[in-house]
Amino acid sequence: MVSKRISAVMMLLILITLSVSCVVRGNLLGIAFLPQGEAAPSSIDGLLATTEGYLKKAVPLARTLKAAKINLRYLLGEREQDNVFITGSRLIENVQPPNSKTVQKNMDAILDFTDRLGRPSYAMLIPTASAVLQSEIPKFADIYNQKRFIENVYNNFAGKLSCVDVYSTLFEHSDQYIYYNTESLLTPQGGYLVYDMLTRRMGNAPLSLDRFEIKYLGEYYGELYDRVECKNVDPDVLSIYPYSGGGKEFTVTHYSEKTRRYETLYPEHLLALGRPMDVFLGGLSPVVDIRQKQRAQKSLLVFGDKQMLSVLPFLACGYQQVTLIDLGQITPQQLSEQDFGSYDEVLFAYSTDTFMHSDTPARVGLY
Amino acid sequence: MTFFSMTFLLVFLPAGLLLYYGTPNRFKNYTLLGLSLLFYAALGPLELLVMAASVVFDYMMASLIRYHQGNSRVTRTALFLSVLKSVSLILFCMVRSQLEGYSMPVGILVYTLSATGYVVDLYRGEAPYERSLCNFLLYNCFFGKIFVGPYVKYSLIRPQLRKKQLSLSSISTGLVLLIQGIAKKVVLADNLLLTYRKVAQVDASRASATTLSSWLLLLSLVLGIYFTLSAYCDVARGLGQIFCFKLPRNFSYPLHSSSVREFVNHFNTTLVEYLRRYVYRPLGGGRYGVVSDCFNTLLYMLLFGVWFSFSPNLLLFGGVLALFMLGERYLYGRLLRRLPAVFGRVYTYAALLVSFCLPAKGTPAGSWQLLKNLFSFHQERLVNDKIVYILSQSYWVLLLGLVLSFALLPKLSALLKRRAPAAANILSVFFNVGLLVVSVMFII
Repeated sequence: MVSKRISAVMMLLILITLSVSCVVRGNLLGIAFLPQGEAAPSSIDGLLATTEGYLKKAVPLARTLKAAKINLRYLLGEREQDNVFITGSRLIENVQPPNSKTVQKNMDAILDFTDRLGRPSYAMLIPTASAVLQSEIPKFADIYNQKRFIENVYNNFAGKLSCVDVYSTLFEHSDQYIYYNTESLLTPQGGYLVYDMLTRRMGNAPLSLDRFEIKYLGEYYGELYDRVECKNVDPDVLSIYPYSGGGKEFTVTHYSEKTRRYETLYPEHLLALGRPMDVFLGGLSPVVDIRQKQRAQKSLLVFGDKQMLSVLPFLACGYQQVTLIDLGQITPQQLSEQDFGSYDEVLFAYSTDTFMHSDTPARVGLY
Repeated sequence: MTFFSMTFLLVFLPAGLLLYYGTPNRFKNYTLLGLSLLFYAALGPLELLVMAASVVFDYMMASLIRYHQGNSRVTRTALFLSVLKSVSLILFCMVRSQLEGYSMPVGILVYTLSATGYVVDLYRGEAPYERSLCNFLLYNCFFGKIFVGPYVKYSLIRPQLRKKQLSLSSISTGLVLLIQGIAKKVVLADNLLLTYRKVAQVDASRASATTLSSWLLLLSLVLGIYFTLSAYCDVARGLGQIFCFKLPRNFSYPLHSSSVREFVNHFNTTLVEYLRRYVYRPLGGGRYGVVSDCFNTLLYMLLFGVWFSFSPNLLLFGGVLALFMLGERYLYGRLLRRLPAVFGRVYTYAALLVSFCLPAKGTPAGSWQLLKNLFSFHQERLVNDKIVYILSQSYWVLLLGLVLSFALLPKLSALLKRRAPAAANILSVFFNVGLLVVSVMFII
């Protein structure tokens, strides 16, 4: 009984300490301390969910405790947690099978848009790390066959869009650092491979890699690491590849609620704001317009997602203007204001994950 | 809000404790009722309304019985209306959940059956009348036992409702039970049921189902159900102790049983007792011979099956368990008792294996296929990559579940207490505090 009493007193102390610390941090009643601009939940369920979310973050040592759980499970042999493979030194998202209705909707909207616009159009689906880095996936793990999926989509586009197969190229270079360790994105090295393949397919000559200077900006841990904080995982090396040949200057303009402009493809100062991926073009916005100050020949319209951030800095070197439209962020009004007819070429470039599970690409039909 | 959330652990429970222990003794029941109603309101306003309407209706029927004791027509009508209300409410919610996919209101089985059970007891003269609506509501709707019970007889709760025995030892026992229940749910039950869902995907098609997948499916389901229900009941008992109620034990190592009857008696004990008390015995039990016993056993076991969810497979689940129980009573029970205990255990596991094929699948045909798969030892269908992968990810939780489902830990603990009480005490403190930390780790 003595042990029970001591246990109980200690447990009560722990619970009260946790509660009090949450109050002190101002998060106990999440709803009362909602960040500015966040709408208050309208139902009891919403209120409880908000409070629960705040409490999970506000508990002292929450991150350490979560990491301890993940590492404990890893030690017990769980090499896949929260749909993320822990392969020893890197994290790879296990992309789930596609939603067939979503995929069909995306394909129909793209075909319809291409038909209406009447410009040379290209489609490129970029496989995720789980499809390319198969040798690193835990043995016997059941991963979705993205190669077959890409082939099926391309078969549907046949004759209407020119399709760019980057799977084989990426697969051949799977021993290189082409995907981040802690982020579901291509590194600039992977981005260059995609650029090389895409440019050839579009009938242009790609710039060789030695025309770019490689600049290391430091180490960082990406979004996957926030989900699965496993101590075995190596940090990522953030690097940028500015054009070193000279004679190329760019202006990148972001059109969202506020217009932002950078006189470089790699606004390095954003690193200090804790947004490592924004070093590429300044991140994503509804419309990102890249213009080369020097005279070049063509203009390219790109409908794409975050995966294109590492490809576009290379691609921009060959165009007078490249405009990236993020259909996930753009409003119908912004979309209707665009003049897509003025572009010479159109590219639909999405990660397979986006194309399989999100109807973002289908929003092109709203134009 | 569930018991296994940070909102409950860090907001509701500490605030509830402060309120309850800060209230003078004579108002404690009101405070506890207020907390229970608040807990219900957090589940949804409709939940609260249905619960309040149902229990208040039973209170009115009980009052009718009490104040018209001489008038058998009135008392019988009141009893009939109470039973009719509960049965129709449960049936309506079950059918609606099956047809329209709505989930049943939380706790509906617990509060309707408790309240109607009380009305029946009052009618029979086996329970005293409870004048206080607050006490009556508290008996039926105490938030601790609302999810899966236990089902408690009013005579057990009545003295505790009237005289609160506050003690540090009671709160200590309660907190330890509460944390053990929470750990059981978030560490074991949730991961076992996750494993079950993953295996079920593999086992869903004939092409990918293997012998190993079928065994894993059953093992993860049995352990998952057991730990989920027993976790809820541990939490209920823990909260009961903290708020001065002693609730009965509902699960007592059922997988350690050496007969199906023993398994049923140790698996959701209070539900089985309830069904025997209000279904089996009123219908005559075994008093009118073998046929009556068989019929009544079958009936209450069918209800036992349906308690989990309304489906043909669960109905059959109860039926199959009843057949084994009747077999033990009339055919091979004596033989089992004469044989060494290990035979009883092997027989029980075999019987449970057959029985649990039913809840494991959605249709009788699916269950039959599962049973065949368990014993299909074709080399090419023994195992496949998918199931090896799932096993490699989940083996630890299956092993832990298996070890903890037997009474090994209490035996070890008792042995240690006898041999080295001081060490046992220190270990126990570390174990309990560790459980709390691990529980928080798994919740966030």
